[in-house]
Amino acid sequence: MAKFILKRVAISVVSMLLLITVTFFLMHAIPGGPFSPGEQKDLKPEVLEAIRARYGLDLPVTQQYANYMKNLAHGDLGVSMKKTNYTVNELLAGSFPVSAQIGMLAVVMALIIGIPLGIIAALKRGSAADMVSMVLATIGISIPTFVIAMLLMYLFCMKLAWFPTFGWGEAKHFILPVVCLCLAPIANITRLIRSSMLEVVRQDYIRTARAKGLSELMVIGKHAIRNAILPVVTYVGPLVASLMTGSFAIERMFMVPGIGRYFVNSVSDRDYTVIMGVTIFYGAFIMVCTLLVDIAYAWIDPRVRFDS
Amino acid sequence: MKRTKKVLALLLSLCLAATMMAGCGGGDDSADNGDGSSGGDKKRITYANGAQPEAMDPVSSVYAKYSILKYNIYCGLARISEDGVAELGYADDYTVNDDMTVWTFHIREGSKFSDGSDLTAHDWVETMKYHCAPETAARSTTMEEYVLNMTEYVAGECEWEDVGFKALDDNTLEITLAFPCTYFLDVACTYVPYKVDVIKENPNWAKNPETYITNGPFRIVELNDQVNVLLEKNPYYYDAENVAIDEVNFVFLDDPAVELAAYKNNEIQVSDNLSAESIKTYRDTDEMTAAERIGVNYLTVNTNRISDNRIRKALAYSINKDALIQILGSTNLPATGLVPYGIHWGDEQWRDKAGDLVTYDIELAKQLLADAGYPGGEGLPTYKYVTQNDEESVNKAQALQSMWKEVGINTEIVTFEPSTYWDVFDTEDWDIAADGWTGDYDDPNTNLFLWEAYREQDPDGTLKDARWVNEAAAEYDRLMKETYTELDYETRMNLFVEAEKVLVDDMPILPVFFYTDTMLVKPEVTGVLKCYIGHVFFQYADIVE
Repeated sequence: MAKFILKRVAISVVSMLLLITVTFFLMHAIPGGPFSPGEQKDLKPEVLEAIRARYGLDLPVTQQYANYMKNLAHGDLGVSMKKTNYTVNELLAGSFPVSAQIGMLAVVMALIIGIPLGIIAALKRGSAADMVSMVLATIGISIPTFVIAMLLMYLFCMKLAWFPTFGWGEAKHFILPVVCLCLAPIANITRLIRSSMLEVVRQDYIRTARAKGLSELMVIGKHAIRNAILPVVTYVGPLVASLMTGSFAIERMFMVPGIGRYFVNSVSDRDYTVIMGVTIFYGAFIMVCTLLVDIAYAWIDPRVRFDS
Repeated sequence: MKRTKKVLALLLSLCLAATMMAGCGGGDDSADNGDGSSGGDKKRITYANGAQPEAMDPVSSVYAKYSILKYNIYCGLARISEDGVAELGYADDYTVNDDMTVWTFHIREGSKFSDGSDLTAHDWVETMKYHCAPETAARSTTMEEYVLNMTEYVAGECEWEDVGFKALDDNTLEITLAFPCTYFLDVACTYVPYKVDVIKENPNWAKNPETYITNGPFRIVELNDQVNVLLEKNPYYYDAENVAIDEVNFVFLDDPAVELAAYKNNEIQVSDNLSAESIKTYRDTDEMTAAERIGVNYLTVNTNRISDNRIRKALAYSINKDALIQILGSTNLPATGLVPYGIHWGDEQWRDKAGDLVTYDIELAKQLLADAGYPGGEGLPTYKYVTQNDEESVNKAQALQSMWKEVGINTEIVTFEPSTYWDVFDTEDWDIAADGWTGDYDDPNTNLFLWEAYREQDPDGTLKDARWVNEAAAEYDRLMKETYTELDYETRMNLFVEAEKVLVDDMPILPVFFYTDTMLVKPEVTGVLKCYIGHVFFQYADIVE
């Protein structure tokens, strides 16, 4: 087990370095920069040069890369070039908890609703319950979240006035974003569970369990679920990472002060340090989540351990 | 037993979920949540400020978004009056010498910062010294550079002692200008005092209401990054007795669609980031106001590539601006020159007095093309039109393309995202480029200075390739230079008229719109002022039942 984990960590570190390097050079290769002369007509060229020098942008890109890596080794992600007086560490520390809260809630909701729905659909295959949950699942996957967000906002904020259209800090501000975020995962989980469950209940050992005279609850709850849940575990790792690190569309629609908006805004603003910071953070987070999933997998399914 | 265990497990997970929900609501209960909930009996206005400004302090800010906050929490030597013109602010009196270069302001006795500390002429001096110091690297020092030797000080080429900004005593400020300036009171509105000692001690002062000390009609009581800034009436403001509103909540909404929803829901009372849909909905109601802003939207022509001014004029005269405005669903006005509405000539609109210089005239456009040797556009190359890739810019580009096509001029539209657009602009690899400018003060110079020759230089002193360099440009430059030294008001205004005529006659730029600012205000809210630069002021506002 220790060897398995060690190997995975080593792979993660290499991928991380690769990610940082590729992002850094790609970012500098795209046209435009954080400070453009034409945008601010009354800024004198000398002042612009001074600003660029202040952020080290006057150096050759390779030199900038070396400097960046040096600072990164100390855990310093630099200062934002657009959001003045903020370090990237500060930005992440302020916005990640917000996104993580609604993201985690969405994950929990998705599991609580998605797993039972998938099991019911599989067990009552072909029944009305199956049809309904599959239709819901298809809708959940095919309608983009921002459309759902707009519909919910129109219905609950404007027509019924149950929730405010913006604001942050109280439970009432959480509900709609969480609902929007968990719909697609519920749909995915339902489908995953349903298909793997259908496969599992046809296995010989399930027949054996039934033949032994175990109750249906025991057969499903103890024997079937353990195997049927494996694909969901794989899915949950990246899901946790992507939901906890925020969604640009949802955060923009509901004015959630989370990390999601930095993904998009930093790129269109060419805020180099924030692009790097967010990428590194997201990369590291997703790697940790995947690692945890692999470990959990090995724990649930001994076959993985032996294979490796 | 087993059953009890299961029930217990279920209960436990429910509890967990519940605590999680509760945890989300955590933090400080007394805090305002940025929504429109009212503050009890207090008179509160909630205003959507668009997205949060990138910089939240006056030193690093560049954009108008912060300026709106700035002029509600700070007040300069002069301020914008209820009628939208400059009047005395923290100065209660001033004298000026005959050639309009030495302005002496008397600061009100007993002036205070928002924390109750004394505010004297020395604070203005300290502020200027700090703001313009090369090591501060302030993002904008344009207005400060009216002061004698300030340009040199900003560049680190002279000492502070040489700069014409002196406190003669606690209440007297003597400002010597680099050139005569008749509209200096407008400029003095932007000279606000910072609490410099606090700023120097706390690099993070602008993130904390305690250290965010100001002197305007309101002061900051709460700062929630990316959510809102809550202001309360500043009891130390010199004119506090005339401020009726207790609290103004600036909320940051990125999306005009959400802003419209929030306005419809009465969660915000003042909204000024209006989408075409909002304008359509509220166009004919009393809740919507449209006021001129001193800005103009124009197209810059690469005069090096389109060197015949008859072709440039043909491009200008074939633009049907009324149709364009209708297509875009905007409230802008057709630009008939380069000096927009909102700039005054005495008590009148400067534009009305100077008259219309460019109007839609397709026959004239065709004639000009024929005169230039390209009847019906035959033989002309396809021009490259560059613009940003947002919906409005693209729609505008397509409308222009079809208008030009009508006279036989073919264009190719190339769009860029906003962050690369200005870099593309600087490459000068285009024939026509979308452009625009909003001025800073009520004087034609604020728009017309853009085309003076010194602005057309690269850092090494050579002239930019694409820019306007010919006899007309030289004549324009000469006329503009004269306006800096001419002290007689009427003569000076007439010089601007002449200069603008030279510009429009050679057409290195094609005027398109004069900007107007639109704003929605709930009927119970009165006195919200949107001034000529588009800033919103709440100090004259009130809520009437």
